[in-house]
Amino acid sequence: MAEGIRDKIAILGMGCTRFGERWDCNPADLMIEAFDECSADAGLGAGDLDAAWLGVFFDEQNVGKSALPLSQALRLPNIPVTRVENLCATGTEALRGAAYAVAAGAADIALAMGVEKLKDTGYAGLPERTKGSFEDLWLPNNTAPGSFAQFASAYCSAHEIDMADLKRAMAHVSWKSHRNGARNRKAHLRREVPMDTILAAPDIAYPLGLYDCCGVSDGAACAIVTTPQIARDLKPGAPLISIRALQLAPSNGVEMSHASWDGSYALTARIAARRAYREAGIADPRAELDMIEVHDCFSVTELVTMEDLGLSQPGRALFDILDGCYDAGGEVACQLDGGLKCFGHPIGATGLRMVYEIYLQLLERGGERQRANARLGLTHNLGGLPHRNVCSVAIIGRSD
Amino acid sequence: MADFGVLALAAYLPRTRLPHTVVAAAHAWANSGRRHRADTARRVAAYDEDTVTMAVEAGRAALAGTAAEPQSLAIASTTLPFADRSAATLVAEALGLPANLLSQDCGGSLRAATSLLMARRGSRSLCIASDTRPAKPGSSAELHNGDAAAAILLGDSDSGEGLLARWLGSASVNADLVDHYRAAGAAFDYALEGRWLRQEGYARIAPQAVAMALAEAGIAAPAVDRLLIAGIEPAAVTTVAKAAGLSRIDTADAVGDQVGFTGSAHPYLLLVDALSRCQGGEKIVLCGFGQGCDAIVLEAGAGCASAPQLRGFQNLLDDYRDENSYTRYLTGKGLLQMDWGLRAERDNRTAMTSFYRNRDAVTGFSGGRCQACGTVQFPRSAICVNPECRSRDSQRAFSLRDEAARVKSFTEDWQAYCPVPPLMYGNVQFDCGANVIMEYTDYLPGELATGQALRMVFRIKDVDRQRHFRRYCWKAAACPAARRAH
Repeated sequence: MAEGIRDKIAILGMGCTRFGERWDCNPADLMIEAFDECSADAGLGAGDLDAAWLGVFFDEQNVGKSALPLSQALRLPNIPVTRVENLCATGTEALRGAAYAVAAGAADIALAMGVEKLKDTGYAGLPERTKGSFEDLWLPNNTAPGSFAQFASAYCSAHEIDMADLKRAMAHVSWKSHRNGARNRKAHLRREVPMDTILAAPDIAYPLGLYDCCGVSDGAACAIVTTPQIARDLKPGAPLISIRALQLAPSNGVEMSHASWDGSYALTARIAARRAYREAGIADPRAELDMIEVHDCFSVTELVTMEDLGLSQPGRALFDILDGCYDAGGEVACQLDGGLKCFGHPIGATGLRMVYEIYLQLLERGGERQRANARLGLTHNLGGLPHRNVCSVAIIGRSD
Repeated sequence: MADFGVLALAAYLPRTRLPHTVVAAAHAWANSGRRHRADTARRVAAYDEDTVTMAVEAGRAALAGTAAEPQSLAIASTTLPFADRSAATLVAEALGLPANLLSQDCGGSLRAATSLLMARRGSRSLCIASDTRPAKPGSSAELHNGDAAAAILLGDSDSGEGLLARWLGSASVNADLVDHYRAAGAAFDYALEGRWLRQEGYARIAPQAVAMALAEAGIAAPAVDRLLIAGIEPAAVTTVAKAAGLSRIDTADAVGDQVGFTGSAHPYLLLVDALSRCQGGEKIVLCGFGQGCDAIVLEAGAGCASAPQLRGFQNLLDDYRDENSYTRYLTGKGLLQMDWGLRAERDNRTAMTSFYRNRDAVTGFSGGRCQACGTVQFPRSAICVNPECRSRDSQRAFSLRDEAARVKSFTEDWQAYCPVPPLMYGNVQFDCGANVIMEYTDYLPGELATGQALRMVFRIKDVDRQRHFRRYCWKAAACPAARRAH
């Protein structure tokens, strides 16, 4: 196996907009808002960048195609800009591009920007889109909640669990995230939600109720990355925040067409996590990771992800969640910033928003939600559907 | 000379039954005087069914009862979804029949299906009749029409099988009596009062056709055991029988009371019903009426009632679910425009080039079976999906159409657009090993569960309202046998 990018990339600065219904903003305004914070944090301007990556997902009523939206918004000095799209892993994919450019020596300073302006589409949930000219002929016209809801019935079958018990664990997932998000001024939804309200909410896609589903928001987040050497030179004496692993695993059709997958977990997440732990040199993730930001597009996704990341044993996530293992004060804090539940899911921005929270925590900038002695964090995105998806895992650490 | 007649026949009834009481209650404010019986009902095609999908089901059931392969396939209907696109070709591809089949659509009259049988006399032909006649809310037709399909495989007995019914003779009378019509492009029929149709139409025209057919068959009128006439009440059938000189006539009609008058499909349905209940050797006169009358004289084959497809007819009659929501019925029929929000704006334009090159998968539900490792997969692909195999170009066509399967995962999705929500879908595990994400159909909320047995059905996938196109695919429905056992 290649040696990977462990400790070859440092994060020099990060920025993140307030997420929410940003009716007054164009996508360019969001990118500038995120970049201004990032630029001040890094102590660098647009003129210092060698290359940039732009992550954006939807074509519908958003920024349009190509590198131009980022290049124009920041008036970049005609540096190479690459637009990437990889479902919900899009933001992390932008970071991967920037990180690989630095690791390869092709750029000293690179920007990864993720942005999405979902609220211009005019309706709740994600816009309908084509799956391809052949797939549209036979695949169901699924929605995201309906697709991720498949985890629930399959998980109950695989582990002989009663749906009512699963519903309680899913409710705990949402309850915990809303509790965390209430302490984050950049979150879209900032109210704690009582457990009874969560359990009594109407179904969006059985068995997922309203509070099992994340919101829809606008937002942008970005990172400036460089080599550890340059980072130390630019910020002497400051703690070094470095990328320990960046892995991506897309489905290859096995989950969709082969009986070996029982539908109760994300195969790609298991593969991406295994590779990321190896790249980062992590042997016991539950003991070594302080905090994680996972793709809680739906609460059942977070539940199965605890097993896919090797934090809970198969069939045990439900009990670990109810035991508070992943609460803010638990063994491994999950969604300290409130997660997708509170930030919504502006797709291109989400992965970078997760890294932003890990970055803040590692630098002890978490305010009232700061995790004590945070040294190692993980982010996880699961894009697409349980049977056909792209999973990204990033591991970020602090060295003093 | 070989005997010619019916080699196989079967019916298809959509599962939803609309009780007349539900309709009457909805219209009581407007039509308090309308009389209806408390125990009558009609069948209603689901929102994703039409004459094409029902024809596939009927044809499938008929062919399941015989080893004989048809040389031609024709569909009779007055409500085919396309004025210019062959329904018979589409149905033939959905049934997996060979491409060199003669295929033809017939319509223009409620008599089309009996005329089709007469036109195909002497050939091994799969004749399918299928209708979903539209009816305005509040009309008499809304109560009395029904949606159904039935298929008859004609052929001669030297193909190695006994006939379910032997063809003895037939005749037609043409008369442009316009008791109702539906102009090209019109949404509904325009109909005159039924008394004129019964007295001047059925009672005068049908006996002439019956008499000529009996003459050809060499059968005396009193020897006839059953007179099957579509579209009129049993009492009116008795009137025709008397006028034709028939006696000992059984006019019981379980089909009309519980299914409704199913248009061009009705004569076939009546024949399925009659053969499922009669003795071998009985003489049957089957009539189709519409701008004249066709009459076909048949003799029931020995043991016809015990033929599996005919024994199954009672199951079809018994397997229904009453629709208790009149507005849901209207919505399913497209007669009530509910506000389904912006998701209903989805553009369903079909890439015809893609559809054409992939139609064995889409229409025929054909996947691939790897010759190296045996893995069945959908869709068929260049490289085997089995991670342990990955053989290249190793897959042979393998249709999942009739393969047993179970629910692996599911949801009831209230966010997705569906004319009759919720949209239900999930992973389907086939006993043969294939795994396919599919839409579930004919389920109500709360009915799905993992492990349930499934049966594949050909249904409407999407309607492109902008371009007046509809596309079809295979969906998973509850297996009727498992449902009965449950």
